[in-house]
Amino acid sequence: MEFLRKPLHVQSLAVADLPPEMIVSILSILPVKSLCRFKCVSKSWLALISDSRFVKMHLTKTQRENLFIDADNRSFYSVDLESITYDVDKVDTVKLDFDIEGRKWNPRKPWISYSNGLLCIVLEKCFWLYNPSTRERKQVKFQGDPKFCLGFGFSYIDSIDDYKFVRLHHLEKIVEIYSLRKNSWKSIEHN
Amino acid sequence: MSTPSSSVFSYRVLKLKSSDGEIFEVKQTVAVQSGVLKQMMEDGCTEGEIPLNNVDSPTLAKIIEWCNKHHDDDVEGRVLSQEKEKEKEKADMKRWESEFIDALNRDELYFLLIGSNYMNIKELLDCAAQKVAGMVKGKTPEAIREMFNIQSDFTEEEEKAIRKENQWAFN
Repeated sequence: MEFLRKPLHVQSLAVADLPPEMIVSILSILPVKSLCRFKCVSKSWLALISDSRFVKMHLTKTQRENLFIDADNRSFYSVDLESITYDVDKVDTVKLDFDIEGRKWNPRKPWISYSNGLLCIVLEKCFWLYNPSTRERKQVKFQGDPKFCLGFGFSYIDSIDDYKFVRLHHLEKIVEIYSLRKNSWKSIEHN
Repeated sequence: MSTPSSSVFSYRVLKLKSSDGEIFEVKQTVAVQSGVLKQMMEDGCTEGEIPLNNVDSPTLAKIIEWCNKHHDDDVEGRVLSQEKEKEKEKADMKRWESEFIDALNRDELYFLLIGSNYMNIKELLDCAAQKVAGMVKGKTPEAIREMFNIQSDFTEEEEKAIRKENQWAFN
């Protein structure tokens, strides 16, 4: 059958000859590190890689189940749980490039949470949102006195495409809700 | 004498005609992996030769080899008594897939991408795209420009600023 393999009318192809939507789809499965580097290829590549629809597409296609571990007072680790399922000999454990200067850690109340690509790290007077892929970070200050806080929650909500951080108040019947999309806090009574 | 229609369906073959005029016979149960052919079967328009104008014969032969393999080893479809066996078959299939893709030269790979996209064979398309992604991911912006035939339209300062912002990605 080998003679059949001889191309009959083949000219040479290059990646550049692929349809544009296919190039986008190939870019959407690249590691973030490559994409950040490719931002300076051209203006149109920068626009594509920064486009929110592309970012979402990339997250959907490349997101792996990761476990985040708060190892000591300073560092965080991510463990790739999917690599455990498929290949027991190799487990990807990565120390995150995220240090909080002068972090005062209360060992009785360590709290980190991960949702849809974002890691949330709660400190005394603020919390950090950290994207382990792009290494972008954002600090959000708490309102009011953190002593009166009962607990936290952090999650991505698909239907409204927003990340919310929720803090439950200890004395008053209040929940404080932070919306990343609006970058603002709201206090609501609860029963 | 009548035969149950389902068995008639599963043994029927499609005649696929490559862009260079070669005819390939493929069982319907195999061809169903192509979204385009599946749609044609459902619409009942698979009589005679089906012209595939974007796929030449070497590429079509490769595509059919892939589909046959995935039909024969339809892991999901079979009831396996043991989880372990299932895992092993999955791992074997993964190995077969990467060997299949790795054996292609660049032209073959790009033609396969175009062909599997045209015939809408998702798994093959994903696998081939993954291979190209692997070829691209370690490259410098300069190498990418060359590979994709792109001229930079940034000023020197603009490029410097973007590089600075994403310094970690260059280490």
